[in-house]
Amino acid sequence: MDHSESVQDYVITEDERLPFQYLVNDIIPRSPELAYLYGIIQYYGALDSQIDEYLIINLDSQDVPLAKVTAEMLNYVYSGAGIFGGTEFLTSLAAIDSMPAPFKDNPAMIISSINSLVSSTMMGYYSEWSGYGSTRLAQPNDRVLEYAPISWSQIGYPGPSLGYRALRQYEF
Amino acid sequence: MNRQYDADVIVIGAGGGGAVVAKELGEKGIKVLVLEAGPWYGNSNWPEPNASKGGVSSSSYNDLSIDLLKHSFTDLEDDMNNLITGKLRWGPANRERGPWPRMGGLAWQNSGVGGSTLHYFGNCPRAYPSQVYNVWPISYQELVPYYEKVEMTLPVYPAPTTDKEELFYYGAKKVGWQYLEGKEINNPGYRPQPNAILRPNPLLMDPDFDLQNNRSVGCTLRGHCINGCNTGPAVEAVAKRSTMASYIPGALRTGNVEVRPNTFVIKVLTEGNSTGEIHAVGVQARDTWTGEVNEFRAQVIVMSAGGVETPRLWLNSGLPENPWVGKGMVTHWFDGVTGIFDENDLMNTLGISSIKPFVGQNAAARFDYPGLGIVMTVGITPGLFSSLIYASSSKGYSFINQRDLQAPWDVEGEIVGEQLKESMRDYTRTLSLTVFTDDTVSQENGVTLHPELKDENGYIPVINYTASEQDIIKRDKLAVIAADILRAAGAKTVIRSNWPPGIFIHIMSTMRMGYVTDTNCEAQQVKRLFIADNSVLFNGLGGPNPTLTTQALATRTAEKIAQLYFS
Ligand SMILES: Cc1cc2nc3c(=O)[nH]c(=O)nc-3n(C[C@H](O)[C@H](O)[C@H](O)COP(=O)(O)OP(=O)(O)OC[C@H]3O[C@@H](n4cnc5c(N)ncnc54)[C@H](O)[C@@H]3O)c2cc1C
Repeated sequence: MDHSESVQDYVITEDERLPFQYLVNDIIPRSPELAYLYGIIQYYGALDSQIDEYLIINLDSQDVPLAKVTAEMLNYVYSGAGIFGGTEFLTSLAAIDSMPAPFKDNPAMIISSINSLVSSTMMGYYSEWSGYGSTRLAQPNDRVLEYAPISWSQIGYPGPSLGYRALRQYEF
Repeated sequence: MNRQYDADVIVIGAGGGGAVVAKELGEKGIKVLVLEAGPWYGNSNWPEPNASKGGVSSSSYNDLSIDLLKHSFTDLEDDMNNLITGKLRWGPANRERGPWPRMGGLAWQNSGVGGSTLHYFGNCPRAYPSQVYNVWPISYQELVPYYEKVEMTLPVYPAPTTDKEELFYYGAKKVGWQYLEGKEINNPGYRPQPNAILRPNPLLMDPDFDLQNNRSVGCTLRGHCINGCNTGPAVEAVAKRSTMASYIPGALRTGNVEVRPNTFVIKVLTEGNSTGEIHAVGVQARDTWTGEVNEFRAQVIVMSAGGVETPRLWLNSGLPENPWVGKGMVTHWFDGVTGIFDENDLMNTLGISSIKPFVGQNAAARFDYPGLGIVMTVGITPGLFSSLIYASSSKGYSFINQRDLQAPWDVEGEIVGEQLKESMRDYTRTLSLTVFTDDTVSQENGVTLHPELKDENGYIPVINYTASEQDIIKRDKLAVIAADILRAAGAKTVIRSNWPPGIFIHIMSTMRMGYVTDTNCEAQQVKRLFIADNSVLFNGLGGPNPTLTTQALATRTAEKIAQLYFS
């Protein structure tokens, strides 16, 4: 199959990426200290696996694309205290005049959107997604797993398996 | 069959409950048309189920194809379980389209032949008798023969033990909990999970057994239950017994059942008679690929669209008002308690250096406590594992929270940053436990329609769920029990996720028997309209996973339909 066209299915602008990069880096940072303690593989974080792009394509794969407005919302978050700034801070942002819908006057939406971005960051990073490599931005049916994600080596997950000879004889 | 009908019975939804009704009716010689909103994986009429429309329907067992199933079910968790683009999501077959919207929380269900059993763990405990006796409008004894029939059909066995289960049993025993025998649970204790997964392949432990080319029957403990199992020589012999692999092949074998995927029912049609009584006569359904709307007619209609869509469809169809439609929802308000172990301690207790959550069946050991709920092991692949355990909390980020020195856990809340990376570095030495709460039925909780927002299938459902004081107390007690088991097993660090109430996995009792339906599961206000899914359950069973009970009841409902309308 020719993937050249579908690889460009999702068009992501650099501007749009920035706030998502802040967010994924907050959740799964690069870690020189862990690298020092446990080996270089532990250095890498979500930015090295383009998890910001994962968030963007997930948001834009819904019938109402949400990446652009979410980027705008996150820009306000990061011009202030960031995602760890606390509920009061995040709540206050909903009142900003130029906050886009659906976040304007809707603090619960800001908070739930950030929560789901946090959990998507983990799903993106620890699942196979970054291993789709050059096909990662293609439509889901056209992606091909090209290599094992860095995260799998960091945590000792060998990838999908056909079976494990792991039965134990346990006497109750 | 009368020519004005498309079938004797139309079943809406081919999931946990609907597939059972279809097979049971088919076996009685009744013609059934199953209309299913999602795709059909592993059927040669849909060689590319997510990429092109494919055929219209299938009624032949010979259409099933294990090769296609193996191709679709890739064992890759983002491909399978991404909530937005995954093959197992709540949305149309076409993955270039978005999921179907809902509001009020995350209702983790999926569309497709097999429904949400495609990604379920296969756990099949019976209800706690104490939560049915003198509580339900039918007795527990009434359910027993149907339980037995479903347990034989799926079939259900006690789950096998791998390292993670043995560590759990070790901890539970050390705390002093009893080992539970039998299927009727009246006291607290631990036991292997009764589940609908074929027993391990007898050759599995033989070093010469060729896993690469394995096409034989039996579970290979590869840990992909949640990603849609494809282990086996034929669709019907796939190890995890989703209804796609169990009841649907059985239904096709009767020669009386036709299943039409990619067909979303948007309205139940009724007619009235002179006495003011109304009865169901058919449905309107929309093709999810083309948008074309068709009408189908039958003598009896069965709603099996699940705990959210069945009430939504009732409301969108303008069926009679009833203060309990959509109301009374229970969800077992889950929680997660997780232990991280040191290699040395594992060596000393079990003689192993790790327990690998991705090895073995996903939820193979459990602890039951009638009156409180359940604690169960959950070991899954790392994307789902991290996002469920470390990113789901109502307590905010753990690094901001003050350590509660009284609490039996070291950490509570979401884990992010370097702490997350360190915790995931210990993934292979992590044992995670899930808590299900015996939550209380309340008319305040449930499904309503959004007053304005619609998708192509009608007004979208809005879910509302608030836990009661009692629920909070029960859940806290279970979390403490879970933490104590982990500690006794030797956990160095114990983490309580404290899930928010807005993640819905067991969505039950939104169309309760006795309130919306009679004891035959026929709607009180609409004759010839039956309900056979989690929504008709009277309560949350005391905590046990709901599907077996839904299937037992669906078996009974099929019998009632046959007696009432086709004898
Ligand atoms: C990760 C996970 C693990 C789980 N593990 C277990 C477990 O181990 N044991 C257990 O008992 N439960 C488990 N569950 C819950 C289990 O999936 C449900 O209890 C079960 O599938 C419910 O059956 P149901 O018939 O009510 O609904 P479903 O299985 O969801 O079936 C409903 C079907 O109807 C279709 N549908 C909906 N609306 C329409 C419409 N309008 N027109 C046409 N078709 C429609 C849907 O596409 C779907 O196929 C788990 C759930 C999750 C998310």
